Amino acid sequence: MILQIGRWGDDIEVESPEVWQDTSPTGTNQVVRVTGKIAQTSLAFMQAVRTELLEQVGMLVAVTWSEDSTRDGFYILRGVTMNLLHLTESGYVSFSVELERIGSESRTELQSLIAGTVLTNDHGVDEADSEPFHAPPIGVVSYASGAGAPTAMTRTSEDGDVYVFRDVDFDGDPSWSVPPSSYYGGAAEIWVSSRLRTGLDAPNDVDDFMLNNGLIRVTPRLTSQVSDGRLKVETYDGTQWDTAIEYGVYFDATTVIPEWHAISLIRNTPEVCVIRLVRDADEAPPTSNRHILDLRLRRGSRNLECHYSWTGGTQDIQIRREATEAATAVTPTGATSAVGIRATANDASGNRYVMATPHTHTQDLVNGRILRATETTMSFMLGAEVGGSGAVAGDAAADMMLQYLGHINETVRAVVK
Amino acid sequence: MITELLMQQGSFTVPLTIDTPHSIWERIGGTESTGADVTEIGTPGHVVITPQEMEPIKVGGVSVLAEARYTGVIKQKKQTNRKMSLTGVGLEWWLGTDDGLGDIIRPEVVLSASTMSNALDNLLPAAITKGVVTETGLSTITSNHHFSNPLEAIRTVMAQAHCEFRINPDGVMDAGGHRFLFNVAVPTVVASRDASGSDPNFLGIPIAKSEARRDYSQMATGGLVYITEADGTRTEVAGYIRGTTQRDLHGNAIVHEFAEEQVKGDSAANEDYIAHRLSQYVTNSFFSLDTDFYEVEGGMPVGDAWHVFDPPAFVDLSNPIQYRGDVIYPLDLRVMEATWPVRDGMGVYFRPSIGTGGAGAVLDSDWIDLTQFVAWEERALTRIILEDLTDFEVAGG
Repeated sequence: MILQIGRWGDDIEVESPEVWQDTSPTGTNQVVRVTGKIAQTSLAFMQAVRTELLEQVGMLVAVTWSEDSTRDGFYILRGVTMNLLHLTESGYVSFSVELERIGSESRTELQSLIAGTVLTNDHGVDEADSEPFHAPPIGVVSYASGAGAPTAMTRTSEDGDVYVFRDVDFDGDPSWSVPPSSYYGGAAEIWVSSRLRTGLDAPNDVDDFMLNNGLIRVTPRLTSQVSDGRLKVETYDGTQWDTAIEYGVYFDATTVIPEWHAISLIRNTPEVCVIRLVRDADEAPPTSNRHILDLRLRRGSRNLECHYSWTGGTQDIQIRREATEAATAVTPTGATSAVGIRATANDASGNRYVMATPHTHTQDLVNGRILRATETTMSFMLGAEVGGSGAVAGDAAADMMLQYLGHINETVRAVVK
Repeated sequence: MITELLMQQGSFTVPLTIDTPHSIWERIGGTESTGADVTEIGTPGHVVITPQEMEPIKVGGVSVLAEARYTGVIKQKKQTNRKMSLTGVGLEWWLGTDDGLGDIIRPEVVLSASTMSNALDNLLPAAITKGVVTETGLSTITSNHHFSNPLEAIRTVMAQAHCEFRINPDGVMDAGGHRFLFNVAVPTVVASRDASGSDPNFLGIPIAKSEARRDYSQMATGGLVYITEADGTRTEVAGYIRGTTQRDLHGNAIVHEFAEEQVKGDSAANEDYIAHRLSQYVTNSFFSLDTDFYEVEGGMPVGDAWHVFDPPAFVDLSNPIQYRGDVIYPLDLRVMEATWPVRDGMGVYFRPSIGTGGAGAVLDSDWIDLTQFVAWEERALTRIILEDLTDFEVAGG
């Protein structure tokens, strides 16, 4: 029997709840209280189970219960109590949760509150040239863009087909409906220590993390089981994950950041996830400065959005394709200079890597590198054209760059239909 | 709790623990005064709060004031069920009160195309000394002041000159355009409902609770200044009417003006005054937030601007900033009021009005360290009230 509360429970077998209590106070939403017990085979697994439920308190969650789908719906998780009763080899937890019911699929509409505009850029790309996009969950119905006339396309992720609406209006707030069981389809996810994280609390495991939305995913490259600072970016081509492309961030254009010391979860929602990697300036002698790399991934996006900053003085910042691969500059429609580069030829998987930045930069087309000179920060994007030279409209490098520049900040709210 | 307001007195309450020695009560003096002929009257002294504990007797009272986070004028000491507390107001009290009390200006001060620095030289009471005055962008001042308190006079000259002031905890007043006096041009604080936290360039303020509202109550369609002639008649000397497209119930253009009697001044100065006062009457965006942050870069900087991002109400798409892996579009708001708790780790001291030095001078040994007797307010949140930055004049910096 599966009780799924938000992203918790998909891989957990829950004994039938001892109590499922529904109350309906006058003038307020229904309140549901569920109590029960969970037994897992390992203490570590149970500790993770405990953490990931606690982390969702305060969040809008989709709840499904395999035994009684009439209570499936959207809720706000108001409170959680977990009693880890046996700290031995295995764990046995009694739990209770309190949920405020928003409503079922038929009663609840989800609204994406959007704030955005074109990223400040040095390429002359303005708001009209950019291509902001929005992607609701897989299985969406009744989608309304709110304003403008966006173009719909489909990207096939490992979870299924994701509808991507290209060129949405920055002033529109799309609304849509989706079954609770599909709410997390195509969502952006953060995995740390091989476990899907539901909130912002996670172990400081820089050697085992993943940012994944079913279309693109990034993991650390490991050397002797330890992160060596490089990022492995994989693309889903519609049927499988293709061979990873590896990138490095180079300090002073010549020195790669050789490892990361810390990972923080900055934002963890189905519509967008952000993680932060930090490295102390481990020089001889050590300094008090640090390297910071923020990675941001939106639902439905083929772009991994990155922002590097260095707390010391200005320096040349270079993003390198670790295995050299010739590139071609890309100047999208409306741009006055190349926004980035893409691989000149299809790789063995049939794709072409893409790198872009909103800043003035120099390009190394022989090796596949972009460099921003004499700065302390650099925003950039990593991705790949699925299908390479045959990429469909919306997945071509120029389109991806304009989608990157059309920056969207999204927050999802549940409203009554 | 300490409440600080921009260019206003504010207030404070410092609670003491039940085991505070009675001798503390006695040493925080002030003799009962009756009748007009008294030699000890007024405040017993000041409460001084530092970010960390300091020892006045070792570092000197002057150093403590220089490092202080807040200094307040004690107006009341209270004992409730054997628990003592000290309450009072901010140092702005020394400029005078709204009911006219203060170091009355006499003889008459006549300002003619005066700089702000000169105006303050002539209007400030001895209790507040002039600090740094930045004249850039300020209008000159033409006004007369006689038998008013410094508060009224300084408000007038500040309005004329499009200027603001700040009284530091050491009793020194700085003045200038708000962009020179406060950090409004490049905010370094981000208050955001979601994903708040540290960042290389910003201090993130986590929001425990927030309220945002648009306030339409401050509205004026125009204003005028009049003088009272010797025969008692009143004559309008300057006026301004704003255009408005809004109508009353019967379709008439809304009329909602102010009229103020002015001390003799020239026409340009009166027009400046009207324009400045009208700038206060705008549709304001208010944002209040509660946070468990009580110390922002050495203090809660009332007057500074913050980035505030809380869609959909508080968004400014022309103001993108890179923050914690994302680009957000905050509205820049000014901190107008901050109420913050007295927290464990701070230093709290009583500085008496009369010391044991010559002619009543206060010596370092006269300070009383109250730190160990303070009932810390650990559970209390800090409340910040902010206003739309664009509501403030650009003129004057």
